[in-house]
Amino acid sequence: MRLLKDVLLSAAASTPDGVAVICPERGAVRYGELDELANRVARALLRGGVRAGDRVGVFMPKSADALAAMQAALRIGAAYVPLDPSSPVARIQTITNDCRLAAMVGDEARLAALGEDTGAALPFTLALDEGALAPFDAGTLPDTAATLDGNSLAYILYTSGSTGVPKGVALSQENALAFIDWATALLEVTPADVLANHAPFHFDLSVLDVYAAWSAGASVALVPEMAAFSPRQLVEFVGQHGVSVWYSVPSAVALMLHHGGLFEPPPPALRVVCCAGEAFPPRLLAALRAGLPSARLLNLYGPTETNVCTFHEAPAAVDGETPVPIGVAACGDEVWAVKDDGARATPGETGELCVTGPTVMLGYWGQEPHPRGAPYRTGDQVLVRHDGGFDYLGRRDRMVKLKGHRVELGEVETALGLHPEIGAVAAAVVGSGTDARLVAVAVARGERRVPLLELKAHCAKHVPRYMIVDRVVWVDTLPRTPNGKLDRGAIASACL
Amino acid sequence: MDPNVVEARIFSFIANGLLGGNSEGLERGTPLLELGVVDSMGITRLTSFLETEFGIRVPVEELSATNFASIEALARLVSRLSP
Repeated sequence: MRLLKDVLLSAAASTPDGVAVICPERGAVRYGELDELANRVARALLRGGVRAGDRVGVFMPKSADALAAMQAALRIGAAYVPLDPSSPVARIQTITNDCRLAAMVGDEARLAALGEDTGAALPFTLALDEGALAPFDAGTLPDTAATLDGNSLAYILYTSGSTGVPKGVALSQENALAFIDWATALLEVTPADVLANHAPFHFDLSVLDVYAAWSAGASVALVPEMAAFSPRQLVEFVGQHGVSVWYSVPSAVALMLHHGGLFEPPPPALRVVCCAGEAFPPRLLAALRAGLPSARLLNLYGPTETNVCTFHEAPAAVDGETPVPIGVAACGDEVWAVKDDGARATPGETGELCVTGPTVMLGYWGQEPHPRGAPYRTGDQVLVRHDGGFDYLGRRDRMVKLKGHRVELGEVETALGLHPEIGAVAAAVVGSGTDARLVAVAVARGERRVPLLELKAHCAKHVPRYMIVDRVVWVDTLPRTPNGKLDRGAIASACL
Repeated sequence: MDPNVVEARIFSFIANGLLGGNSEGLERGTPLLELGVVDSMGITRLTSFLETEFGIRVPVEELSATNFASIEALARLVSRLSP
């Protein structure tokens, strides 16, 4: 039975001297070294009482150490839970308790911050600093993962929840491998490739960068979190590491192109650019095509619940105006659109995109499992194209995207509503791409209008940084429709 | 350049450029990243500002949470990178 852990194990066995990871703090890390590091962390976890079937949190900046921790969990038959390193402690505690983490691996500073709070019931913590792993043997582990199969949990990715509580998308070994094998074949990854990892590890885009690289014995180069939207630094990164496959939200590519001098001159090694996470602007696609005439340009689509379930590869000529399709089914999945009346949408009609197949999640952690083979309704409205593919139209609910991050406005509103001086509040996103801003329309409970910085500090205790409000508009009452519901249109206008 | 002048100019950019003038409570030690005063796009805008205003070049390895932690920290970064 092939499992997710075998991706790195196979590469380490066949090309121990190849470079697995390039990261700021360690430079080039070879497959053999990463393999040994993962074994040491795995032994430390076993010593700490972690067993097959448990969950292990990883709470640290992206690094070879964080990757080794994730592999260590898999090697002992546990699942990993990559956590946003910039998340407030309260949110980490909520997640810790929600999925009952058996251990947390992290850096000293973050673990110390967690330790100061008593809210999290963590049986074991492991700080990956100098010397912590010295007592542990780096040799091959006994196969403690033998009890697992394709349906066993591999990792949980927490996303924003509409009721104010983050929800854990539980993904299986098979979910992960179906996507990784599809992506590796589609992108024709070879050991000579360098895949840039732009997305953070708690974001499902990172699954492609890391595992498609390792599947082929290629290298993954980790973009430092702080540089993620810094155009010139990103372009330097691409050149310095000879990046051949780039995958990120389109807004990061747009910044590199318009403000970073990406094509001055075009990076010679760059042969694939993939975008996902937000709509791919047609003009950006045309500009990429002009600058990289022979590169493969792809638009990948899929919520965390299904990873990539459709894809579109741009043709040799694009006009810069026609919407970029999200394309056709990927990963062996089946996709179709359902109209409001329940019938299947035909070409020219619109409906909600539904997915079945090997990448559809096990379910949300702590809730009823998603029935195997049952359609997953994405909540995304699409147009069925005459070529059989799909165009993305928008959301059917109040989930929004902020630079690729999924944000439920309800979670933002719940956090803001916890402030004692806010009587009522509604949130909205103004602008799109890199200009997207999170705005709150609020009613003060008393005389005082809470200053913006104070509200930001309040939000920072409850939600990840990308959900901290950028601006507040104070009103006397929230606009409502005649039947008493919040008037979202009027709220959006108030934000402008 | 006088470190106080550097801090004052950074303060003014953050207060007006990033917070839109809503800067009540902003201090030289305010944790900029933790409070979301400087987000991922803010890092980009702030970096361009520092480079233009002070004639420095901020390389990728200096884009760290420590250097961008506060106005004080940013001023130290500027002085370190200044010719």
